[in-house]
Amino acid sequence: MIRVRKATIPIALLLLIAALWLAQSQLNAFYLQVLGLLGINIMLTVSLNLAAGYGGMFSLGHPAFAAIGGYTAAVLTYPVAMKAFRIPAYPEWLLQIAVPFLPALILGGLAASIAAVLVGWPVLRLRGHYLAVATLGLTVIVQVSIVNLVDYTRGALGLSGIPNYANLWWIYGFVVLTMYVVYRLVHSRFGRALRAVRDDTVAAQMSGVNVARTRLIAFTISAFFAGIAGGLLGHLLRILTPGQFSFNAVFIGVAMMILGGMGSITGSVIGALIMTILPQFIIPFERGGSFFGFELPALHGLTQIVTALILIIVMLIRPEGIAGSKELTMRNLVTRTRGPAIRTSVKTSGSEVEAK
Amino acid sequence: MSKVLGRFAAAAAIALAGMAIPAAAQEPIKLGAIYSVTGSYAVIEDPALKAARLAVKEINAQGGIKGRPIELIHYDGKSTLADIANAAQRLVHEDQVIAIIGVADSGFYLASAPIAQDAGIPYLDTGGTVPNLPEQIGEFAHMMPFGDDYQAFVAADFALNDLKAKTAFLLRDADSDYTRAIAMFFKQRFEEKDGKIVDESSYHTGDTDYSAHVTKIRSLNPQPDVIYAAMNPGDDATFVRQAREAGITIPIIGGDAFDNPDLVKNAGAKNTADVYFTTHMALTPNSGADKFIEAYKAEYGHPPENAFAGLGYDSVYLMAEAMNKASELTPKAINDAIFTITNFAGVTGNANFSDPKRAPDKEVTLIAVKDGKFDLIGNRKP
Repeated sequence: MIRVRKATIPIALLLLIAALWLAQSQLNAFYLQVLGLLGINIMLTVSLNLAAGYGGMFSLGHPAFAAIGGYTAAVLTYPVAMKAFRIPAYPEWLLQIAVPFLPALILGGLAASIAAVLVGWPVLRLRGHYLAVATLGLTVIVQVSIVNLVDYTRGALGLSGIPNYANLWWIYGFVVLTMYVVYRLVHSRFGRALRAVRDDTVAAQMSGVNVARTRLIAFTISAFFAGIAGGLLGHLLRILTPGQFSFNAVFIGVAMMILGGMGSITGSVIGALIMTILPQFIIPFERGGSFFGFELPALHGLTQIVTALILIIVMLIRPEGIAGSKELTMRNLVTRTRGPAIRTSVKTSGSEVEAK
Repeated sequence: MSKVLGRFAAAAAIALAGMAIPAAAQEPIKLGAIYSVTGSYAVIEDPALKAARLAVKEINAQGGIKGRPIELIHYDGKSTLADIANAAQRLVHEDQVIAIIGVADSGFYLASAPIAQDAGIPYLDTGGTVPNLPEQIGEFAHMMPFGDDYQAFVAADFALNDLKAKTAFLLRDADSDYTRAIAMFFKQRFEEKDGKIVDESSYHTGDTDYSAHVTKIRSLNPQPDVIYAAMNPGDDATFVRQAREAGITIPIIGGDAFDNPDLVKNAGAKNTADVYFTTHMALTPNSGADKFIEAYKAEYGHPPENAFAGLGYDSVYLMAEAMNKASELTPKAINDAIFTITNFAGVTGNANFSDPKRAPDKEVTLIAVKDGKFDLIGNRKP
């Protein structure tokens, strides 16, 4: 179904590298931080989409995986000089080392995966809203644990003073990796099995798909990337608190996925883009003052209202999300406007390859 | 045609020049502010913002700073870390403010302060009370409120000296850093001065049944002389009512979280007899803040909601004093000037800002609840 031109991916990568280089050299720290948050939100949404959109496992536990990955990575890279009196409960050998960024991130992702296996084993037998509530429980448990394990996490005050390793290169490197892995995964034999399980468990089982195993693997991989995103978040904002991984994070994550489209990677990017970048343009208006000759009063809460309105409008017009379950490619956009007649003629040209 | 254009251009140039001269002389001083006016922290940060706006208005009405008005550039923190960090980045790099005030939570402060520190912009914490925030961030970090150690020390001294207590019972909320901190500092001071903590007990934020703790206190023999309740707003009233209804008449002492109208409303005036707490300022008449309370009433139609309004008001005045003292209006000069302010007379008490590592040396306000009203006992230092 989904075809990609051979040249498209290298060109897109080159454009991204050029854009990142330009951003790093030209933009001030404010824009860099917003772009960093955008990348992290894209990762979180794509990883949630793997579980919920492609796998039908509507997880409300992804903030918990991000928290586990984030805290693990932060504890590993934390400066040795500050470890002993800020987070003294860890074993001596751990207090003596500061792990480099990449292995710390990977270990954070693995910690999130382990949590996903432990939780997924019993919980993934549930479906629909039962699964949603059970995974929401995970978010609550992890958040309360972080608050109470003060000597491991600094509790409600938050683990501050995390080194600022996460620049745009790291973040967008992992964005590309996440999108690539999820894309290849869902367009493989495994991906077809996963979607079969989502659409009709019984039929999938009859066709020889190991339902429990398929769901658990997808859930674990999804948690891995959520964990990495959590690690990047900690090293971008330089602080992690339990409040960052609360109900609010659950709702924002789900909103980004549904807005973009469940079962669409490019849709996830658009969902994250709308929820991260758009508010930044509205914030100056919240303050009030004069704009284009008009005097405006302070309108606090305007960003929340506008994003909520966008969510409602999109749900009314396109309940399946902006991209639906399709990928937004140049060709999809073109065929949509020109009608189906083109689609058959495109197939005959030899310059593209089946991505599946 | 060209003549007309030339004339028009000349006229425009004169008009522009005419406008430019007073504009340059009165170019406003950009003061950044980060307060959450949406989300869970709006209850305490919104009054701080309103009072800060009031202070800016007053200063500008009196001619501003060195002939220049202050422009308060505020962004909503939305009670969310990422938004607070974004707001700090925006103030420092987009609006290029020369100083920042804001936030009433230590976690919020720790999330945004490194950004100001790296850019060399002084940033004054309005309400976060972890005592060593400046030490954790760097030389451009300053605190308006006293630290948690001060208020717990004053509470312990009050119990020992005024209430003649020799033994105390400690009840603390195990979920928040603030309650853990004041409980720890109270215990430290009380035991240092030969008081004895006979027993202690922990609960979780939002618990509605305190019967286990009440039974524990009642079963103590002899009864403790005071109860120190390190609790969050909301829980305090529930506990006080349940303890008093169970017949416990021992004095109860709390921290600044007790400073909310819901305490008396939910616990009942009768049950709040012999309840004391430490806070940032007394919002009662004749407490030294009458002018501020009246001005706030005139501006917003109601008295200040809580002491965070006073802290927001003082935050602006402290920055104004530093700007007046500074040799030039640059972030570095203002920052240096803050350290030279040793007798700041604010509505939240007199304070000394010379210590670069810790919260200011500042008076703590002691309040007694009498007939459902908050009565000022006095302003004290540990």
